[in-house]
Amino acid sequence: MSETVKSSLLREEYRYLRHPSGLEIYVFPKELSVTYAIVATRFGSLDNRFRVGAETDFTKVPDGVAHFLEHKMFENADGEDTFVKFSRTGADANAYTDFRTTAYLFSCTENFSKSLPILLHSVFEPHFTAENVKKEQGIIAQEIKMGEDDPDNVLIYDMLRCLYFESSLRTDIAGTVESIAQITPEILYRCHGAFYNPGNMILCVCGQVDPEEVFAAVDALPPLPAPVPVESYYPPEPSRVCSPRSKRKMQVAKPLFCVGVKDTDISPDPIRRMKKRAAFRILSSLGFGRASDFYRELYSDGLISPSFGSWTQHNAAFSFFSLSGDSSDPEKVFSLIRKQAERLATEPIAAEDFERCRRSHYADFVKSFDSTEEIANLLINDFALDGGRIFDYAEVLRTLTPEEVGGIASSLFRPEAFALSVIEPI
Amino acid sequence: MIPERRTLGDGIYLNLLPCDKFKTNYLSVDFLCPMRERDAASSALLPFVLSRGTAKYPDMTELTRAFDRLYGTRVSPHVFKTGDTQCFGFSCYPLREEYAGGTDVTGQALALLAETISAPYTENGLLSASYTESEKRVMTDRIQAQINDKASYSVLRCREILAEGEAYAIPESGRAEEVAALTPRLLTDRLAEARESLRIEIYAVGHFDKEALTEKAAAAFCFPGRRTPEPLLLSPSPLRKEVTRVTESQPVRQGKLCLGFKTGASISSRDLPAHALFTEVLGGSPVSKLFLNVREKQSLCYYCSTLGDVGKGILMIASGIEVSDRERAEQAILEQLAQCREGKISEEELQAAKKSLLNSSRSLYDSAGALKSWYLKNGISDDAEDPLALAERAASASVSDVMEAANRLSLDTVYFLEGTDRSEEGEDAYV
Repeated sequence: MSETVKSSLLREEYRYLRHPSGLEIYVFPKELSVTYAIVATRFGSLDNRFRVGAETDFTKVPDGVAHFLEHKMFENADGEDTFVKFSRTGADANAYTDFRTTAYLFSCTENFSKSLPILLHSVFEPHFTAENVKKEQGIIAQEIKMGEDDPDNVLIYDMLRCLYFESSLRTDIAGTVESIAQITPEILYRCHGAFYNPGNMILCVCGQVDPEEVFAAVDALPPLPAPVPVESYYPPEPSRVCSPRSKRKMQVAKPLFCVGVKDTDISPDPIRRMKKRAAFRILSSLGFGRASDFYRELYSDGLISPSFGSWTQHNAAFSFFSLSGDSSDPEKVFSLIRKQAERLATEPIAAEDFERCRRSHYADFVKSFDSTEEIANLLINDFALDGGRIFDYAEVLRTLTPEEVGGIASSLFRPEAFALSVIEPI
Repeated sequence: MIPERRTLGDGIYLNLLPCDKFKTNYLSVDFLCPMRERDAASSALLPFVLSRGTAKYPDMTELTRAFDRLYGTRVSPHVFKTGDTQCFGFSCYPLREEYAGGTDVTGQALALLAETISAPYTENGLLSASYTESEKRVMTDRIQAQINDKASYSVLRCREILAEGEAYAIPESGRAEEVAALTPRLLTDRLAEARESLRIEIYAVGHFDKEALTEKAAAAFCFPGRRTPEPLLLSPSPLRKEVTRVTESQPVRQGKLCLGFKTGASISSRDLPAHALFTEVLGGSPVSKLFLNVREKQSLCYYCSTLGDVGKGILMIASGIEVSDRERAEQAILEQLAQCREGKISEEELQAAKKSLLNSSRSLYDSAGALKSWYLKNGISDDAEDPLALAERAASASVSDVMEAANRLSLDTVYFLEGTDRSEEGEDAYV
């Protein structure tokens, strides 16, 4: 039985069904031109040591395999690429891999009924050969090199390597030229068998669509494998950083910096994680946003530019808070950020500032509901994959207090949790 | 859907695109002027200095907080060029009142936007010296930082070489040395010129009372001494006798190859559908000739795609490749163009390209910002066409139309950013 979930505040609703195959299905009707469909599996770059069902030992696979698999899933036994199949229906297809998930998607403005089965077939019917694996190694090698030439990308991984001792967050999602060279069709089949099991996957469709039609399209698939639990091994991480500093030189105009703050205090309760996620965002605008005194002072002194901003992550697998930008004096910015963080951790948060930031973050959240793509990705990544429901977030935001955010700041901003990565011009 | 265009003053237009499907509205104000060496930097810097403070909210903290109180309405200053026109201004997404406890966020945001233009923070009648200096530094850094992103940098360089000596070669934010020469006096004068004699295009997309908004905009954008703006002209990039080849090197791992083509004439409204269809067939999607052949069949690159400016009659093909594959990649790309020129386009390719164009044009209606950009760019020549209407015209074009479009282009510039980093991974200067 499917369930209808409503939000009177947002004036939105969606249907949810756990299909008999184990696949979780979300259908979010929306009167926009674009209908967007995405199917995601809980398989990302962090999942490189795993065991399936009753297995006792963990299998280690090369770094970058989830992303490699993503590139190969649009090839089919009939020799016809999935992109070509979509080109007949006029849908625009794509895929992405991140730390925890791989997702396949399309957006369309017509022929949804013809496009959905193409997406579903392509993810459940793998076709890997030695030849097509070899060909992809060349393309992905170029993608990796492009990433290695991108200072922003390099900076983020440098920061993550500072924070983490063993976690695969240290490694590029795409792996390395060396690691992907070890990938074989057998490894890909093993990973597909483990993770592309409907019980490990979520389908979300958003747009002008009838939920029953989506459920029926899943019913119509050839028999899917029975749900089998898969367990990944994530090495335990101490709460202190691995290294407080990293520095390298690249062809950049001005030094780039990224300050990372490591957090290992992750609640098993999805609502509490949601709350902390909201608190991270409020802390970043309250303490470091354009409307903060901190921002004005550093901007006026020429220490930061409009590129200064935050990137925060808080989910069941990992959590960090980061601030990055360009500066002629990254060390000074680092020390001022630490000072500001200490202030946030120790001084009470003014109710008026808190309210302004909460309101602004609420508006960002409401704005996500103006795009079928944003709704589907937000629903999948921030909520369905991490537990919790998208509409609960509005309530979490409404009930969050300055004291709670202050409490989170004092547990987050510990001296041993900070690291600074810098890229200097050659 | 064509915007309803209302004239608020001499060369001041309010473009209304009412629709009910969004929870946020969209507002923008753009000043339009011919791209010129002497004005480029001052025009580009102006919106950034103006967003530092108003007479009422004199610093960025006060002003940002004022917008923040309007449910986090964030105002972004921008500058870009299209054809031979430079556009600079502001945009924001105010929340609809139904989601903002009944507050008329849109009306208030419009008033505050207008205030940044008509009542900026000044010192002794001039824009602030410290804001000017600080934004000059940020702008200079931003110009210099273009080198950080190798893909866009290579396209930028190719475009500069392609249009050498033309206004089109002037960077959208001016050159670093021109930015360095700006003073509060020059910027204050430029602001006065902008208010008095530059074309002003205001866009409002979403759910609002049209009459009330028009009234507010007319009151807010009323400048004493207003004159008729000069016309915005467009001249195509002229053809040259020989292909210009430029190779530059940087210590990076991947090479960037960018090929620039010209038609020698603006692509007219009549030829636009065939041109759009041709670029789609060539490099617009994952089933385009470039993607399927240069990437998928030959594994030469991760990306290989087309971009251009139809008004200037310019098309570029950009790709990221192994340095040693440079010649193979150039050959492979030109081979795909040759296929289009010879009409070697299957019915399936043609249909796929048509479907893809229709899909992207329909998708545009879901993004207020994208829709505004479309109409602003098209509206400069005063013949705004609905994106879907253009795609529908393209959908009725034939292979011979595509051939004709492909044959109009000739190779003008080959730019190669040669990566000279041969180090193996892990050899980082890591401390």
